[in-house]
Amino acid sequence: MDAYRKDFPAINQSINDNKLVYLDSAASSQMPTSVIDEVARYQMNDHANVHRGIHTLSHRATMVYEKTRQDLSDFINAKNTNEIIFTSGTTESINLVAQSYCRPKLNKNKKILISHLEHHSNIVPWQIVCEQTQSSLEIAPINNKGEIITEDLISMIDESVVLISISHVSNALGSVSEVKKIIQAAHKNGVPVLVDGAQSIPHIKVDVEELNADFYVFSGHKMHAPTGTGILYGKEDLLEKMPPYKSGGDMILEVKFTGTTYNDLPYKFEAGTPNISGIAGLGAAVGYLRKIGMINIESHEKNLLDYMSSELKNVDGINLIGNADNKIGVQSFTLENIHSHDIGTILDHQGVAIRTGHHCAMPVMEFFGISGTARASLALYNNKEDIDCLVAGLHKVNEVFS
Amino acid sequence: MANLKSDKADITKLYKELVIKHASNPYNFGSLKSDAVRSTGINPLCGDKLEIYISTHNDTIKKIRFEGVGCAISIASASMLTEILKDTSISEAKKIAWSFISELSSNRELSENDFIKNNKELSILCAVKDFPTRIKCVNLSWQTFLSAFDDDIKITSTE
Ligand SMILES: Cc1ncc(COP(=O)(O)O)c(C=O)c1O
Repeated sequence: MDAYRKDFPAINQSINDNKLVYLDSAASSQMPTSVIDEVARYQMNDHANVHRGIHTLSHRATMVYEKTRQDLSDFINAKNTNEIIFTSGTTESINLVAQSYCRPKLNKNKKILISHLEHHSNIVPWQIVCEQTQSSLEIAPINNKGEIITEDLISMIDESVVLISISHVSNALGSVSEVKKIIQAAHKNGVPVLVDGAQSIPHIKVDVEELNADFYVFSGHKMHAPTGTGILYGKEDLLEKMPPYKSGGDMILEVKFTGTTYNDLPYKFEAGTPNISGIAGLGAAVGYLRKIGMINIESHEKNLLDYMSSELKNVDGINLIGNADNKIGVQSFTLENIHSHDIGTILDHQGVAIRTGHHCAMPVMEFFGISGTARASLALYNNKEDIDCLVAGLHKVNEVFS
Repeated sequence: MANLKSDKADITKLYKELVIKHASNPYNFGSLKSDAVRSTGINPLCGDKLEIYISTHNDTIKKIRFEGVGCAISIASASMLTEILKDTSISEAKKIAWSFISELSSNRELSENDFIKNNKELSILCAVKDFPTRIKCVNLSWQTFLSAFDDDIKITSTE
């Protein structure tokens, strides 16, 4: 896998006179040259508005945009491209489902079910829609390893649940949820499931048909594509019945002051001029990931995570947070008596970039009785040397504080 | 490839020379009884929370204490604040706090007779200017102190 490192210009630089060691891909991952070049190529040659012109550039822009939709549909094994909605990211995708799918169905006798492990963007949109409709938000518990307790979650499912929304992989702890089992149980009760795939999509093969997920959402910038791009996958029959979430141009067939007819899928949900250049880059990112192969990425990262978790145990005063049996991509930890931001700053001084704090998952931090963690997260371009630098950096942190 | 040579201060030196000394054993850590003015500051980005208690007599700060959770830099900054502002008049204390906060966000040369320039620890702490992501940690206690005298502010936030 080391051969791919050279594809990422951003990781080949120095920070504070040290080689950059980028271990913050769970926050945002770096882009390969093929993505950067595709964005530039699009900007230089093809840029125009999509679906709105009869001239050549508008046609080319539309082709690029729709090709990415096709690529994504293939990548996650959707039935067809109508099931792929472009959004600005995971956050917008979740808000869309909350307001368009759930809000009309919610009332004071209904519930939304999430877990204790979620990112704030899979909590707050539900709090808001539940408040708007006087319905309740139920939280499935987690255990000390940082796993959703699947049986407990399943026991909370009944007909009053309008939707279950859970992450495939936790951004704070890396725990992989038993989504397939949860979806099966939910469907027995006629309850649809949204899977937040922000942290799974760059690391493992996702097959929405095999999972039988009703909605699957993710962000481009965590899968080596530009920021401001995201996906809402939804089963076509569900999307068909949902009202538009935002309104404006491109989502209509006909506008009259007596009434407007909405456009078909997927355009019904894509009002306004989208982030076309970003989506061009997203298409290139999907091409890049498919070329390497998700199976190869997964096994490379699995080895690295095992190596990282075992090497970290050699650091004095370290406490690994999140020990799920099935875990990918990240390792959270604390050092005794040292605040995570101080760890982050002293590591940065040595060129090592990690994330510190609550990782937009304050309920998870509260569960473990801490204010935050240091989190090292992996991508396909990381190697053992990166982890050795992290461990050496942590020894240095201990030395500064000794 | 970008290989920018940095001329930044060495952050580990800042920790070793100053921060750890204060953070591991902060001055005036704790609370004051109910007649003291109390001011709360939070840094939502990191979840840090600080309470500052100020007890005054004849417009002079007689006692000042703080408690809370935070990184070593924010605790050290609060510890220094209490040491420096104790026994000064409220107006002088506010002046120092303002001057320090604006110093952290500016590139100006301090005048020779500036309080900050003549305070060894504060001038060392100014090295944090080279680490923009940590300026808020230093700022939090000083802003929280100032808002104690501002009736419009209930909780100070660095965001
Ligand atoms: C699990 C999870 N869900 C949602 C999000 C939000 O993604 P975005 O900010 O790209 O909308 C993130 C990003 O940190 C995440 O890790």
